[in-house]
Parts: sequence; C-alpha cells; structure tokens
Amino acid sequence: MSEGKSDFKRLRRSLVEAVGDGPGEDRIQAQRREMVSLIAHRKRPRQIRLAWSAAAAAAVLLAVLLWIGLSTGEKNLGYSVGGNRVLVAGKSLESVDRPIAVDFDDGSRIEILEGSAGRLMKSTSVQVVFRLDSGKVSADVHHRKNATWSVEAGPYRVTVVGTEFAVSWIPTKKSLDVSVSRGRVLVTGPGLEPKGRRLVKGESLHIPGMTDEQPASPEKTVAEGGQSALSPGSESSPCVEETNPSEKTVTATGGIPAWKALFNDGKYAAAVEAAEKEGFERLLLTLDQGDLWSLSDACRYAREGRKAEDALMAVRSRFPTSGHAKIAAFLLGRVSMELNKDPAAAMKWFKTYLVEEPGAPLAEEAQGRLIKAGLAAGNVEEARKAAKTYIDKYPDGVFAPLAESALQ
Amino acid sequence: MAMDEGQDTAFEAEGRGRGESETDQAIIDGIRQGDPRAALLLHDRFAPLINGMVWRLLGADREHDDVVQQVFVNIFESIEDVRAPEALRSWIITVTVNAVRRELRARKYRKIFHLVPDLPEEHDFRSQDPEKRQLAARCYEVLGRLRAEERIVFTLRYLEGCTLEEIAGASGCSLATAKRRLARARKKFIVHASRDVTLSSMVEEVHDE
Repeated sequence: MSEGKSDFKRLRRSLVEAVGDGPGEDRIQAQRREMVSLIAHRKRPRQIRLAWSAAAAAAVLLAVLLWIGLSTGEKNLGYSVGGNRVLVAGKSLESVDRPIAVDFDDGSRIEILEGSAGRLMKSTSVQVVFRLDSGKVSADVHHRKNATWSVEAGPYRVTVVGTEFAVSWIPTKKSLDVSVSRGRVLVTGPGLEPKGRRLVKGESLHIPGMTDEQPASPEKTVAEGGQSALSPGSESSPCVEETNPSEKTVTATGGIPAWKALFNDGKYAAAVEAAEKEGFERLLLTLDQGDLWSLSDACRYAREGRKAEDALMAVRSRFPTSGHAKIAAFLLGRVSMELNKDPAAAMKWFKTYLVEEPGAPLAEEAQGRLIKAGLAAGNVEEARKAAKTYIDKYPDGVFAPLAESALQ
Repeated sequence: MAMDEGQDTAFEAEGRGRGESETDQAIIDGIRQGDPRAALLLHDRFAPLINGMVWRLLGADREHDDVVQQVFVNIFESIEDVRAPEALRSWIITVTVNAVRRELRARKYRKIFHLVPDLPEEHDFRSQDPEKRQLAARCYEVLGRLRAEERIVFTLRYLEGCTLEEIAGASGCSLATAKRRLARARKKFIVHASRDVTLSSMVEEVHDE
C-alpha cells in the first residue's frame, strides 16, 4: 500500500508544537545526576554475568521450594489499626463515636469515620481492597507503581492510584458518594458501564439510590458551588458523542471544496473568502461536523471574529451532544475576548464551558481566562470569585499569579 | 585504565576535536572497562536523542525519566553487542525503541490483568495552548489503542519522519515487516481518529490507496 502525499502533515505539525522536543535541559541534567548515582553502583559486565549465574541458581532453588509447597506469593503490606499491629485481614472494623485509622507501612491511611463499618479484605504489595459495609471512609493513598487500591461499597468499586478521596455508602438506600481531593479514581458498577466513571481532583460523584426497576442515574458534580453538569440550564449532557464514521467521506483530491483546500494549505483568510463565495450561511447549515469545525478554525485563524462565532454557534446548535460542542464553548470565550473584544460575553462562555465540562483538560485554562475576562469587563466581584476558585483548585497553575493579584 | 604519563585519555582527546568515530570507539571501550567518564560522555552525547525519541514515542509521558533511565541501563549492560563505533548511534536508537516497546507492553499487561486501573495516560506537553494539548492528548489516546509495535512504527514514520528503512533498523525487523506493521497501524489510526471529534478533521485529507 502506498501512502498519500499529505499524510498526517497537519497532525504532525500540531503534535510537534504541542508535545515539544523533549523534557527540557533541566530534566536532562537531573537525569545526568541520577546517572552519576547509578554509575557509582553499576556492576561491570563480567560481574553482571556472574550475578545472572547466581540468579539462575537461585531461580532453580526457588522452583524447588515451590515444588515442595512453600508459597512466595505477593508480599504482605503490613498495617496497624488504631495504633495496634494487625496480623489477619478480614476482621470487621467498626467505629462508634470516633474515627478509626488504618495506617499502612507505605504511609497510606484509610480512616473509618464515626458510625461506619468495614473490613480490610486484602493488603499486599500489589493490591489493597477495603470493603465498606456502611458509612464513610476517607483515604490518603500514596502512589506506588503497579499497586492498586480499591474501596468496594455494595456492587460498586472505587479504584485509585495515589489519591486522597472519600467514599460514602448507605446500604439501605444503595446510595453512593465519592469525592476526590487529590489524584484520580475510577468508579465502576451498575449504571456506570461500560468503562466506569473517572473522577479527578475537585470532582465528586453521587448515586442517589436504586429503585427496584433500575439504578439511578449517576450525577457528576464539581466541588465548588455544587453546580451539576446535568442541572437544568446546561445545554448538553456530559457524554461525548462519537461521530459516525459512515458520515465521513474521504473525497478524492479533485473533489475537495475550494475553501477546504485553502484551509489544508494554511491559507485561512483565503479559505474564509472562498467559503463566503460558496455561501457562508449555507455552509453553516449543510457542512458535516468535521468540516464545520474546520471552517470555524479557518475563521479563527483568519481572525474573523464574527464568522468564527457563527461557525462555533452552528456546531453547538447542530451537534449539541458532541465533544466539539463543548470545546466550542471554550473557543467562543476566546473569540469573544480576543477577537470581538467582548469580555462580558467571554465570561459567559467560559462559565458555560466550566459547567458543561468541569473536569476536562481545558477546565484550568477556562477558569484562568474567566479571571482575565472578569477583570477586563470591570466585574471585580466575578473576577475575585473566579480567582479564588482557581487558587483552590490549581494553586501552582499558569494563571496562579494573576489569580493572586486579583485577590489582593 | 593504565595511562602513560603525559598521554591524554580518550575523553580528554574528545575535547581536542577528534573524529566522531574515534570518540565513539573510546566511549565503547571506556564503558566496557567500567570507566564512569565514558558513561557520562555517552550520556552527554546521546541524552538529547534518547530523550527526544522517548518523549515523542510515549507522548511526554509522566514516567518519561524512568524509561530514559532504563534505556541507559540497557545500553550499559549490553554495550558488548556494539560491533563497530559507526553503529553506535543506530544501536542506541534500537535500544531506545526496544525499551519503549517493553514499557508499552508492560502497561498493557498490567491493564489486562487489572493490576492497575484503566486510567488514561498522563502527559506533560510543552505547549500551553489548550487546543493543541487537547489534540495531542486525543492523538496519544488513539495511539494507545494500537499494539506496541504498530504505535512505534506509526510514531516513527509520521511524527519522527523516519524512512521505512530506518524504522526497520530501529525495530529490528525486515523492511517487509515494517511495511506491514505501518499499513496496519495507519489503517487502525484512521478508523479510530475518524470517530474522534477532535481528530476527525485531521485525518480527512489522508488517502487510503
């Protein structure tokens, strides 16, 4: 199979810009310092061969020990309950009027809060499983490579990697609450198929309870203000709709519209002009999602603010449940601010984006730009509110200095 | 290493501008003899190359430094395999690709056997532009769905701009195998990317011939 002439050129260009050339000189120098330490303990190749011979002999001995029935298994991860060393997992742990702390040898901790009960089912070097029978636990898990931590609550499982989070379970109502203060977790169980629900810092998940007919719909919320992505007024569900590949047509070279060919060549102003000749309004109504998105890009890159706004609004109205629709909200904020010089409109769009996509990769950027828009609009109160939220969620973020100055 | 008095070491001679081949030979000899200066010189010489490759193959991965360190460990432990100084650079590229392949496979196995949760890879992209970061994240998510070998050939070809011969050499396979892997990788990437709202417009101009 031969390859086309312009294979992935745009993708490559964008990726190279996004990813960069490498980690930077500082990190390479840090690697060098690690290397110095590594070299100091490195064996010569001859010694490595001897070591391997010794390792091979040890492996044979190990196999023999296994054959005669000695198990090596995973190593246990020791822990204490309320300061007392525990040797046998699985015992019920119940707190009445004060929390019980389960402290692990790796520095992690599970705290069983008042009026709660559960059991530590397994504690090894690769897996820790805590079953919450009722009530609430909070956990502070230290990241260890290849180790999985899970909290099971009824039919649900919260799986974590280096995280601080809380899980609450009411067995009589089958109601689950999960909130994350650091790191990220994956919650699986009924109503969360097929891949479960991922939560990052600042997010929480509430499953109100199951009826006999069906599980209740999970509600994902942001920590600040308690606004829900599913609350009335939100323009779309948080689901990302996949485009149907059958709707995509890979046209032959000769069949590409003029505006599209100009866009592919990076001639954005000419692409917008060509789109106008073809009937800009008609294109907004007839283009498929991918082409409409490209047209909106062309308008933005050509700094045609009003046209970009129209194209992005068309994406939102024609493909409301798509991922593009949500990103369009963010871009409408930028277009309003940078091209149309309308910071009040920018504020509205960044807020819309944050409601629709609270945990998305652009959320930090949107929150930071909301501060800028608020200050530019003269809305000091909104700017300060946005700044406080930003500092709470992203204390070391790119917009932290701006947020701090807005709070002064 | 025994030296005659007044004679430069091979590494001091490096500073005097001797040929690259002679320097590489000195590095190889030095590492074989356990000279730490040789190891550091190799690091200084090839760290940008190795870092750049791992950075783009894994997508500015959060565990980048661990993988790079593993590459150097593998280099030091297998330096006997280098046949000639002219082959050092291409051999290092092969060691780097092998280390990345092992890392990708290990991650897949850990997910398959539920040893780690199926969470998305974490990236540390350089650009602060949110659109570019979003695009890159989605691209690497799609790449994550390919087999390790397919992801590597795809990245080497379309992101690094390597020729098929270079890809075959780096992957330790025949040219025909490299071509087959690339064809499979390309087809899968297009299918997955076409379904992604962020990537779909990026693959529209790609022709399947």
